[in-house]
Amino acid sequence: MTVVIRNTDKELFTSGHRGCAGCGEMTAVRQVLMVAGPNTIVANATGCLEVASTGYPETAWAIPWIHVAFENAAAVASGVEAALKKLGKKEGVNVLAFAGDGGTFDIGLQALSGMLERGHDVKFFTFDNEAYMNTGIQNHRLLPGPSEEGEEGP
Amino acid sequence: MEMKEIIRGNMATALAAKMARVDVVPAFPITPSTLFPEKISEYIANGELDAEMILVESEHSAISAAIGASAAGARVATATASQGLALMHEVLFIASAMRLPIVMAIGNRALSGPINIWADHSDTMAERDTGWMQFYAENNQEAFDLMLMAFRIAEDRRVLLPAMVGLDAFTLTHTMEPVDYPSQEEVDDFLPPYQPPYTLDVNRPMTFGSFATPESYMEFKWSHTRALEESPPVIDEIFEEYKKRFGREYKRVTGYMTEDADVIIVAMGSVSGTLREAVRQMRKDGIRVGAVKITTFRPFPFKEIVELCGGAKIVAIAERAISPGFAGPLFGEIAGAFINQPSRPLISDFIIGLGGRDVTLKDFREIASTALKEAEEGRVEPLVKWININPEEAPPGGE
Ligand code: SF4
Repeated sequence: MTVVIRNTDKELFTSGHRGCAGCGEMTAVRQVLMVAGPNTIVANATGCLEVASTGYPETAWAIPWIHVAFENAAAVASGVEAALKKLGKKEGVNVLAFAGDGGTFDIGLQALSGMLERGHDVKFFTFDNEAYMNTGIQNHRLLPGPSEEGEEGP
Repeated sequence: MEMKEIIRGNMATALAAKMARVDVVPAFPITPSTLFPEKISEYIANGELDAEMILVESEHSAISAAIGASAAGARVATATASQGLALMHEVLFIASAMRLPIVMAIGNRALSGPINIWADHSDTMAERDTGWMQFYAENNQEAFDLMLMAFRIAEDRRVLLPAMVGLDAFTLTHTMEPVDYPSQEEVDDFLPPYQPPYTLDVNRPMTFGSFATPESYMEFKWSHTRALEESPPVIDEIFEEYKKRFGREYKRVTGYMTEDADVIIVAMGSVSGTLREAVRQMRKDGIRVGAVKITTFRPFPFKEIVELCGGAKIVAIAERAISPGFAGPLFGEIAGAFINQPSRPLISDFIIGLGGRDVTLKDFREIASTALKEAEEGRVEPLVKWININPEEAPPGGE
């Protein structure tokens, strides 16, 4: 498995998106892409990142990017990777997936498990802000303990 | 050069996908469609097909991976049925909205509950609003031909929409029938490699699946709907070309003895052959009956249905699906086709063959005679008649 990592001067996740000022997720994504470089394709789960960065007709992404739904970023990335392999375009191209912690470990767990078991050459990034934040801080199964004081955790 | 093999319906669709040189096949097993991915993996293992197979962990992931692969520029096919298709539901809309020409064979099977694995059109009918094209095969030859043509139609720049090809569970998916097929060279000539207008390409970055506010959502929906509405001439053109090349004729809707018919029975899928035979026999008895087979359910052939059935006293719809609380879904479509016509036949609905119940010549006789009686009385009451139903055997409901 080869991952090509290049530094780049060009911003690949550009300013002007609608993320909250100081949002950790937007900053993290920008930095991941600075390392990954322009030969990168991203599959994104539904969530803040997707909503804030792609309000049509604008986009913050200077690389190829795809969003399908909430729970399937890993499956979409699997399809992208398999296609690139078949078409002989995989060499030197990173396939990344971005999801929140819910989109990774809770609603997204099944697709992630399949992707990992099949051994796709995909790097999966989770932004762990400890709850379903985009919909307003609901708990999910990754939480280690009680989500609210006095309430039994999962 | 035509070749012939005696194969199951699933083998016919898999053969068409192989001859179409599919690049990626994400698949998950489900009865009655499992033989499709089995054949594909066999082709790959034998070196007959150079493709990537993705053994996904659900149908939801199958269609999601299909989207990823198609957006990356691959020709993609898969197969599913019933619950598997229902599990794909939310993602189907996204595949068509992204204008990705994925082709999917459906082993038309009843939806749970109760769980049942036999022939029924409820699964694809429940997906009629997903923006996919829908074709229904009468036999395994049609399953092969429609599957192959589906790639050409779906990938046509004037269309760019995904397509489902329905073949009835077991009656077609598992039944051995002779199927003629062209040589690989002829198929390559008919279906050149997929040339996507937009892909996930690092040299030409694009955003797929962006967020649309009320300012743009309707325009997306409008342009998608227009593509489907404007696809019939392209479908007809490709059907015509197929006939010229391979000698087999396809129409979006096909009439049989409709010209002077008092009653016309409309059906889809594998019962169409039984229906034509019933019409032949009834004609011998002097009953003026005709048949219409719908091959293309989406885009719906409104104009052609009116042309074929407009002269009848009554149109009897024999359908393998029910929309509880309404009627069969086909009834709504056909009634809609006639609604603005200055004069129109009565339209009567019959529910047949749910969950694989046999549909026989006798059933079509009963449909014809009931409909003719309704035509005589000038009223259709009740609107929906269930054929071959045993109310005494029905399980108790709530009191
Ligand atoms: S709500 Fe969304 S955009 Fe705002 S800070 Fe949180 S993750 Fe970032």
